[in-house]
Amino acid sequence: MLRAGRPDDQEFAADEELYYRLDVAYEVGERPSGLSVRKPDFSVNRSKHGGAPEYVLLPDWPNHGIAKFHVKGLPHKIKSEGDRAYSWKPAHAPEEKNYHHSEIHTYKGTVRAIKSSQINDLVYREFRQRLSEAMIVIRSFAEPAAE
Amino acid sequence: MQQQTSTIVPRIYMRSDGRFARDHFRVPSQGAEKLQKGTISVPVCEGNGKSATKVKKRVLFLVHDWIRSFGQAFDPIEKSLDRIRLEVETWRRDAPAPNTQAFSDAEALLSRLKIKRFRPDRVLHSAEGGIGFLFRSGRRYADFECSNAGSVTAVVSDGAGHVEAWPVETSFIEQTAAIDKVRAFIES
Repeated sequence: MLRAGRPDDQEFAADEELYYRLDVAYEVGERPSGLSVRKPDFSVNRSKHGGAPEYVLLPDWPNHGIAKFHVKGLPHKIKSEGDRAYSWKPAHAPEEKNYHHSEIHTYKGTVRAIKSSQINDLVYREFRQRLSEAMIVIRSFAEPAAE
Repeated sequence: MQQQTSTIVPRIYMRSDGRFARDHFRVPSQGAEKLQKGTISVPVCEGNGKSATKVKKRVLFLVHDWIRSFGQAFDPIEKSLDRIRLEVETWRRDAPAPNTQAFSDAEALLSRLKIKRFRPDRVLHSAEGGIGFLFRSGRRYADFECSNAGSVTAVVSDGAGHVEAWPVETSFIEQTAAIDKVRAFIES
């Protein structure tokens, strides 16, 4: 899991698994709600180069849940009013203690959209719902005990 | 001429802003008897009964029970919302904690869901900051999101590729129309 001097690798196969951290409890095998999906940019972990799902919990989230999805599950070409088309791609963003760390980025046409505030919220709402439907929960979040 | 006696009964009514408020109103005792027999289902009239000296407790209990049964189906949802509210004090999740705006909008929306007797399957915090109510039926899915920024949006999905998202204004008419749309989608 340590980077140990390894370079980044921006090649993602369509069937590569990505892992997303959840802070809401769902049953294993369930599809999470779109309400539990953040809008990009957000972090995931990749499976290539031996990335285990649990690495997405590094370094500070040992009790969180995990949902997995494939790169091909990322929504593509969601259109906003004005017929602007948006798509999403993963980018490998290795960290020293988490080599498999990656991010999901938004593209407006072929240009990366850096500021999410410039994109219609309804585009993101649709993105979050569509991505949630491509996800499967593989580890349940441990809700804190009620006080 | 026989003097008409009156009875004070409580009412929960909807204000012009769509929120619920509580007060009392006066009905002729004859009307109160009708209320006990269930012939008056929802007491709605103007006036507060502050000058009244007599309150018939049995009528109060009847109305109270009616209101309780009306809301009981929503108890688990309200408890979940309360749990989220309590947790805000010690929030340690990835998502931003829901703020007072989100709770206020969620409560207003929940009151309208109650009126429509359309119970969400779950209430949960949003990954983007806010409160959401979700509904599932087979592959069909819908939710409302009350964001920390003060917006309310809805999403429906048939689970087979059709996804629609739209903004929901906070007025009573807009929200009940959105609830009707979501319900028709989920129950179709």
